[in-house]
Amino acid sequence: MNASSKRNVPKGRQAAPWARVCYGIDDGTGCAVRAERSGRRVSWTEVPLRDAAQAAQADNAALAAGMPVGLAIAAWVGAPFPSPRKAQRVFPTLLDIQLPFPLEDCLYGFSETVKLSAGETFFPLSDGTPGAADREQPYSVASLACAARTADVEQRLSGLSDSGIDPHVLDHEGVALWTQALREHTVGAADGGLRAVVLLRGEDGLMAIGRGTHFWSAHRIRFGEPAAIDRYLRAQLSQIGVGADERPPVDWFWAGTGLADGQPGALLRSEVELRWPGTSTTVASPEAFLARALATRALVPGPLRVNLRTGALSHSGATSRTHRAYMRAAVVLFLAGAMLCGGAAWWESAIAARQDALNKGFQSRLNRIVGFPVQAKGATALLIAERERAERAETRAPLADAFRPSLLTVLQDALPAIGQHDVHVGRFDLSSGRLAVKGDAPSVAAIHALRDAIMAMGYGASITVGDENDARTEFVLDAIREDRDE
Amino acid sequence: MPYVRIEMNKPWVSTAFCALAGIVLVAGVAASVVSLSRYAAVQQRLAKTVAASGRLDALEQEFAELEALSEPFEGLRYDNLIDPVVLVNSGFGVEHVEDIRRSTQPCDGGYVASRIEVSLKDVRLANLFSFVRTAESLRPPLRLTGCTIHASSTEAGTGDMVLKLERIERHSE
Repeated sequence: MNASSKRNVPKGRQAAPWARVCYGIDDGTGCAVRAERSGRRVSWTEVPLRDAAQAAQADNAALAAGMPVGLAIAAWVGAPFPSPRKAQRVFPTLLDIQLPFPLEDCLYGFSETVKLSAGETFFPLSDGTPGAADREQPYSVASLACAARTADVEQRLSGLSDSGIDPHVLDHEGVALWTQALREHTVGAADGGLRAVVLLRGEDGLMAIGRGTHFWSAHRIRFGEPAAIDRYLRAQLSQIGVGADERPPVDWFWAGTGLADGQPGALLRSEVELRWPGTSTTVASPEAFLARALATRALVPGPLRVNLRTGALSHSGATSRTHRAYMRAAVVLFLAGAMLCGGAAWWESAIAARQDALNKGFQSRLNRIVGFPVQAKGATALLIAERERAERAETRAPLADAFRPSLLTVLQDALPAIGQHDVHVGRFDLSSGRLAVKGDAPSVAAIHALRDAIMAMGYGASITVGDENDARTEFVLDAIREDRDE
Repeated sequence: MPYVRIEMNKPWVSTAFCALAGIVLVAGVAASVVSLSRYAAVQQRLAKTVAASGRLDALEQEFAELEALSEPFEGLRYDNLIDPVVLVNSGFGVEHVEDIRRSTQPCDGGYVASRIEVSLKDVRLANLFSFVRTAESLRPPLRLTGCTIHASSTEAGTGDMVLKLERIERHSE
């Protein structure tokens, strides 16, 4: 089978994005939960395991089960490329090197790609050579690979099928344990210590270990072998340069069955915590912890999401529903794009139509006003209209002059004023905007009085006083009408 | 009604549709961005057109006012108009005038501004008022547009006079 065809596509994406409800099944503890998502929140209730498959079908819900840790591996692969896309292309090859069996015989998936900063030691990644942990981290990006032999997956599905269970999602139990513990018991900003999540069931159990929020590894454990837990912790700590005699504190989280006093699980717990002291927490509803972890991971996006039921063994219903979900999203995007295109086109055409209507209205009005078709547009057309108006005003000036006040009123006011001040007029010159009087008066005061009278008629007047002759003073009065707009 | 069933289950069809959806979305976003970036320029252009339209309103008003100037002259009779010289002769009681200068200026609508400049010698200045009243009461009026008086140094109340008169006329074709 082609390696790329079996890869898990989603990165940090839930395995069943199409579902709102998922039944998580932990057949090891015999627990099942019905989980329902609302946004990123998940609410859950316990249901009998034997009814889960039927209820899921009736609910049109997803069904998630786990691949036991002993049958599936979870390992980090790193690549020295700054480009995640480039690194993703070589991850299958790197995984092939790590696997004890051929990659072609496996089903596998990769989590979202994580960028590593220089000198970062959160991940137990090394090139395997002695002293590698002391050297600078050679990788730029890393991804968690989960893989299981195809035959094991087939066998697991066959076993589940015998119980009437046909899961849409087959998750890695150890990774599910880790991420659910992170979800329910958040790591504080300053809390980057060792963390171990242990699930006990029947005669054995499983353990996920890591540091801060970073998953390291998952292991199958047996009740009678507490020393094995020692080995697993030591092996991982040596990868990040912790000495063999050091015992950093561990935050323990316990889930599963057999945790009550006197039971095998409780004995193992006390023994392990004696060797690796730290904090110890029993999770809420410990029996259903893994079941709700599987359901939660299938429903909501988050870190380290994988589905080992992939490739040739992928669930046809899940595939078609995922496909439908993607197609629905594509349809929504298509419609959104079409609406944006349509909106933009409508806006453009509306603007063009408005502009066109304004231009046409403007042009037709202009042509009607000036009386001939104007070829020019816009400001030039306005200039032509203004020039036409000026020409028309000039040719109609005599008609406009006909409405000016009669000069008779000026005569009727000016001539009595002249007589009143005993002025002898030599020359009297009146036109529509101008009045000039040349003559003589008995005194300068009389001339000024005449000027004031003329000014009272709306003229701006100036006088030039001349020689005095026979007790009379010659003068010239020149007056311009002030309201004259010519 | 016949319909076309699109087999979305075929991988290439769904891939093509997803690609199409992506292209349409990108095109829509690009078109929206282009439209939004042009918004200010379009607003400015429309505002300019509206402003030009406002200027056109004012021009239309000015043209209408110019057009209305001829309205008072529309219903008047222009045949048998009295000769201004005859009117001057009778108004000032003289048998003939010293000098006459005539001119015309064509106007719109077939109207003509007919102007006459009449020089009078030794006339009684007091007759000027009654003459102008009579002239301006005619239809169409004969308007006084200018008047120059040289008072006589020998006889009070008399003098030489130059009158400028103007009348709007319409010459029938």
